[in-house]
Amino acid sequence: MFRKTFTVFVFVVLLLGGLTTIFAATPRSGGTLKVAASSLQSLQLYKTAANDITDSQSVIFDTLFILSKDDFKPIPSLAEGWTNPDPLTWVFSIKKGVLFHDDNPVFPKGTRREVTADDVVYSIEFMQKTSTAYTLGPITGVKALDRYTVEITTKTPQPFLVNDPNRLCRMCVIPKEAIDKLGEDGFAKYPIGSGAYKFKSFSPDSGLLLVKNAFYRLPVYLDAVEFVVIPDPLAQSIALQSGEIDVIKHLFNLEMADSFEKNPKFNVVKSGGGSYRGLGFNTTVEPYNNPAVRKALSMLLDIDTAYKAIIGDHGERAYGQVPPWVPFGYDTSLKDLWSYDPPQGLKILAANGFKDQDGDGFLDLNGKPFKIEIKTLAGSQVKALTILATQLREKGINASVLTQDTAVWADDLLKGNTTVFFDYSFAGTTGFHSLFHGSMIGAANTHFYNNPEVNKLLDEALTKVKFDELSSLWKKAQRLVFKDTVGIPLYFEYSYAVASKKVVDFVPPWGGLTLVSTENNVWLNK
Amino acid sequence: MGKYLARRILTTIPVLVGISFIVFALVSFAPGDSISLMLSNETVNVENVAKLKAELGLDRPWYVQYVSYIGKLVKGDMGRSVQFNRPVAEMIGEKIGNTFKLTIFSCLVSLCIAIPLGVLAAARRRSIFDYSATAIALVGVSMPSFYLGLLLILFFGLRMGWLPIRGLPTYDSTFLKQIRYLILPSITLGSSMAGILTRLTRATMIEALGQDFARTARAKGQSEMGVLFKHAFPNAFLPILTTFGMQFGSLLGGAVIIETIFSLPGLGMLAMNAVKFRDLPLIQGTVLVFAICFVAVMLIVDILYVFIDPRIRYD
Amino acid sequence: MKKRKTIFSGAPRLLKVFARHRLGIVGLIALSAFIVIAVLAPVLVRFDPYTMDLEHAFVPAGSGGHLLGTDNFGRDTFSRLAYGARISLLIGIVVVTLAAVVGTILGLLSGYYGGWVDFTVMRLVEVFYSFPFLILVIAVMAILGPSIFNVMWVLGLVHWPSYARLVRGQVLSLRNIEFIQAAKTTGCSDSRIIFRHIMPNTITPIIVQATLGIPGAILSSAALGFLGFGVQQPTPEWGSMVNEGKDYILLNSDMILWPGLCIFLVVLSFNFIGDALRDTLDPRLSKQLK
Repeated sequence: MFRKTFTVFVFVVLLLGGLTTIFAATPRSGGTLKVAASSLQSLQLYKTAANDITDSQSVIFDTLFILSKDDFKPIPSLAEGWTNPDPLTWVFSIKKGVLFHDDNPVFPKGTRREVTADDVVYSIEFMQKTSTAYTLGPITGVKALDRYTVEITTKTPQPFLVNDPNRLCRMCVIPKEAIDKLGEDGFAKYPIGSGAYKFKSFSPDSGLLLVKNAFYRLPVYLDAVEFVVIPDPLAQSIALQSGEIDVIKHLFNLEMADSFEKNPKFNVVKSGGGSYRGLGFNTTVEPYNNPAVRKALSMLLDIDTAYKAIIGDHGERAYGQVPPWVPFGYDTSLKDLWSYDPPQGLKILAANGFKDQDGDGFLDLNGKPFKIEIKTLAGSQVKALTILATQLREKGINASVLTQDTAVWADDLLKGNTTVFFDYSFAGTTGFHSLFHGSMIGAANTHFYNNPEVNKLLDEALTKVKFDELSSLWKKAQRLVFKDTVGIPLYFEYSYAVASKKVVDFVPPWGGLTLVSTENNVWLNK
Repeated sequence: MGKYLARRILTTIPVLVGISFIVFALVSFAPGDSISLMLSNETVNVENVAKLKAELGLDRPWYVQYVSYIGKLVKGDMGRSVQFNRPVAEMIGEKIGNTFKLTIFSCLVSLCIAIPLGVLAAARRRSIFDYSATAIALVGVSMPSFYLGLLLILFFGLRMGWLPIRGLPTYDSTFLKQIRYLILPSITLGSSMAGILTRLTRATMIEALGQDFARTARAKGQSEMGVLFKHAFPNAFLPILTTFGMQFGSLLGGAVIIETIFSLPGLGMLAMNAVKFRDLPLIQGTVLVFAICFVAVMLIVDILYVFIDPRIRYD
Repeated sequence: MKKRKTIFSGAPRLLKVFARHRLGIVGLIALSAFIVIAVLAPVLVRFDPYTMDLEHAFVPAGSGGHLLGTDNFGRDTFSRLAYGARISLLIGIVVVTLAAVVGTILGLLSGYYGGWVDFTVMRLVEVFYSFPFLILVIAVMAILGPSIFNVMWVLGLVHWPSYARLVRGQVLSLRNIEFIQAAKTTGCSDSRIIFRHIMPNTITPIIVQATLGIPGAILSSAALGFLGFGVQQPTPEWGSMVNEGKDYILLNSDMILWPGLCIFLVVLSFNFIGDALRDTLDPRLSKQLK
C-alpha cells in the first residue's frame, strides 16, 4: 500500500516538475539548434520535393500561410487573411512592414526593403515558371490589387490550393532584385527571403547555417539554426544520442522510436501526418488484369501481423488509401472489403488456373511457373513486404521482394514494367486522386486503372470546395477502387520527430518546418 | 622523359573516352530514368518537367546526347545534374576534397603500419614480430572493409564513445578536429592496403637482405640498422611503390563503401547517389574524375621511379 | 599427354611440402568445414532459413534450439548462415573460374599469335587496369539490378586481366622452347599446340592465382551485397545480412557480427591455403621466404 502511494506521489511530483519546466519557464534566448538532415545538395527552389530542402527553405522564406499543427488547416503567416469573393477568386491581403533580409550581396546592411504585393505576384509567377516538383494547378491570373493585396484567379474551383501541403503552402516569397542580380544558380547559393532566419553559409551535403533575423515580426529565440547532413537514419539516431544534434525531424527507423520514448533525455513528438503504404497491381498484365486473382491474393495476406511486426503501435491498419489526417475521404467502413482467408483465396486461384504442376511446391499458372516479384524502393516497408512475400511463399506462391533504386522503381512503375509493386504516396491531400484517376496514367497512376465511374466521381469532387461534399464523393470512389482490388492497402505509418529534452516547442514538419510562428516558437532550455 | 609523359597522357585519352562511352551506353540502355522519378511525384508539374527534359537535351537519341556531351566536355563543360539542376563540375569540386583527405590519410595510415612492421618482420625472422606482422597482414587483407567499419563504429564510437563515427565537421573545424573525424574511416579504408603492403615489404626486404650488396655491407662492418635502411630498404622500395600505385585504385573504389558507412560527403557518396537516381551527367562526371585520379596516380608513380632509381630511363 | 603428367607426378612430394604449412592445413580444415556445412545445409539445419517466427525475433544464441539465435524476423541465424555459405562459395568459385577461363584464352591467343591480337588484348588489359573497378562494378550492378548471376558475370568480367597477363607471360617464355618448335615443324595445328602443349604448362600458376583470387571475389560480392546490389530479399547472403543487421546495430549487434565473421573466416582460410599453395608450387619463391 505504502509503495503504491509512494509511486503515485513520485509520479505526481515528476509530472508537476515536468509541467513547470515546460509551461512555467519563460522562453530563453540564444543557442544554436542543430537539426539532422538526410540530404541537402542544393537550395534551389521547387526542383525536388525532398523534405530537407523544403524544410530549410520554409525557415528562410515567408509563405502566405502555414498549416496548423493540430488539424493542418491553413493559418495566416505572411498573409493577414484571405477571402473567396467567388469560387474562382482568392484575395490575399499581406502584412505591412515585413522586411527582406539585409546584410547580403543584394541588400546592404540597413536596407529596409519591404515585402509588397508585387513581390508575391512575382514569386507566384516564378514558381509557375520554374517549378518541376510542385504545381499550383490551373491558375489563370495573378495580380496586385494594391501595395498589400493580391488576387489569384483559377480556371476551376481549387479546393486544394490552400489545404494541400504541396501547393500554395510551398510558395516562397522572394525579392525580384535578388534573382535579377544573382541569377537562379546564384540565388540557390545565397537565398534571400523574409523568414525568421537568414542565410549564413552552406556546404552541400554537409551543412547549412542560418542565423536569427532580428527584424522578424515575432520574437526569434534561437541565435542560429544549423542543418547537419547525416544520410544514414541510424547515424542520425546515434548523433542525437551523443548530443551532436538536437533534433531528428523525420525518424525513419521506427524501431528506434520505442527506445527514444523510454529514454528520459528525449521527447518523441508525433506528427499529425504520416504516409500510406500499400501494394499496387498493374491492372493491364496477366493475370493481374483479372480482379478475381487480385482479390484472391489479398486473401492470402495476414496484413495485421505483418505491419505490427515492423512498426508496432507506430501506425494503423489501412483499409483504403485516404489517411485519417486528410480532412475528407477517410473511411473505416471499407474494412468489410478485406478478409484474411487463405483457403478461400487458394480456391479462387485454383479456379483461375493456378496449380502446382511441376511439383516444386509452388503454384504454376496454366502450366507455367508463376512468380511474384514485388518491386519496391528502399525503406522500412521492405521489411513488411518481406514478411508478406514469406507469407505468400508459405501458401505456395513463389514471391520475392525486389528492392530497386528509386529512379528504376519509378521508371518501371511509370512504364508499366511491373506486376505487383509497392504503392507509395506520402499521402498528401491529393494522393488518392493521383494514384487512381485515369487521367494520371503516365504519372502517379501506375496501376493503369481507368474506371470511368471513378473518374467521374473524382472529377466532380474537384469542383467542390466544401469538405463534406468532397468527402462523400471520395468515399464512393474509394469503395469502387478497392472493391476492384486495384491495390491492397496495408497500413498508415505515423511520422515522428525526436528532440532532445532541452528543445522546447518543436513541431514535426508538415508542409514545411515551422520554428517561429503563431503556432509554436522553438527555444532551447539550459 | 617529357616525351614519355606526353605519350602516356595521350594514350590515356582513348581509355577515358572508352570508359565514358561504356558508362553512357550502359546508363542509356539500363532501366531507370531520372525524369520518370520526377513524374512519379504526385505533386509534379508535368509541363515544366517536359520543358526541363528538352532543355537538358534528354529527349534526343542517346548517341546524339553522347556526341554533344563529348563536345561540351572538350570545352570543359561537364553538363548539369538532372536531379539537382546544378553544374556537375561544381558539385564534384565541392566533394573531391573530402575524398582526397580520406584516401591520402588512409594511405598514410597504411604506410605507417606496413613499412615499419614489414621491415621489422624481415629483420627479425621467426620472431614474435614476424609472426604478428604476418597475422596482422592476413587479417588486414581478409577483413571485409564494411564489416571492419561497423565493428569500429560499434566499439570505439558507441561502446567507448572515444571517436566521432560520421562525417566531417562543417564549421570552425581545425585541422586537428578534422583528423579526429578521419581516424576511423581511414583505418577502415587503409586496412586492406596495410595488409598487402606489410606482406610485400617483408618479402622484398628478405630478398634484398639476402643479396650480395647487403652481405658486403655487413662484412664491411656496417651496423644492422644501416644495412636495413641504407642498403636493403631503397632496393625494396620500388616494388612497394608499384603496388602502392596499383592499390590506389581499389582504395578509391573502397572509398565509395567507406563514405557510405561513415556518412562522409565525398565523391563516392555523390557517385552512389547519382547512380541511384540515374542522373547521367553526374554519373559520367564522377566516374570520369575517379578514372582521371587513378591514371594520374599511376603517372606520378612512374615519374617517381625515375627519381628513385636513376637506372630507369623512359626514352 | 606427357607434359600434363609432370604436374601431378610429383603430387605426393608436393603434399608433403604443403603439409609443412601449418596455416595452410588450418585453412584447409576451416574451409572444408564451411564446404560441408554449405553442401549439407538442408540436412544440417533444424530451421528453414526463410521461415519467420515474428514472436521469437532476436532470440539469444542457444535458446529455443536456435544455435546462434534469431534475426529481426525470428529466422534462425545458423540456418541462414549455412545457406549463405552456399551462395558465397558458389560466387567465389564461379567468378574465378569465369575470369580464369576468359583470361587464359585471351592470354594464350595474345601470347601465341602476337601482332595485332596481342596489341588489342593488352590495350584492353590496360583499360581494365587503369580503372578503379569497384566503382565500375557498382555502377554496372546498380544498372543491371540485384541478382546472383549479375554479380557472377560482372565480377568475372573485371577479374580476367590478371589471368591474361599471367598466361601471356608464360606463353611468351614457352613459345620458342624446343618441344613447341618441334611440334610446329611436325605440322601440329595451332589449336593442338596451344591446348595440348602450351596450356598444360600454364596450369600451375593459374591454380595459384585462382586460389588467391577467390577471397577477393568473395569480398567484392559481399561488398555488393552490403550495398544492396547483391541478391534479392529474402535470399540469405552474408553481405546483405550484414546490411540488414546494420539497422539494428544499437538494439542487437549479433545480426552483423555473425555473417561478417563468416565472410572473414572463409576469406582468411582461402588466403592461408593460397599462401601455402604458392609456396608449394613455386619453390623458388618459397625458398627465399623461408
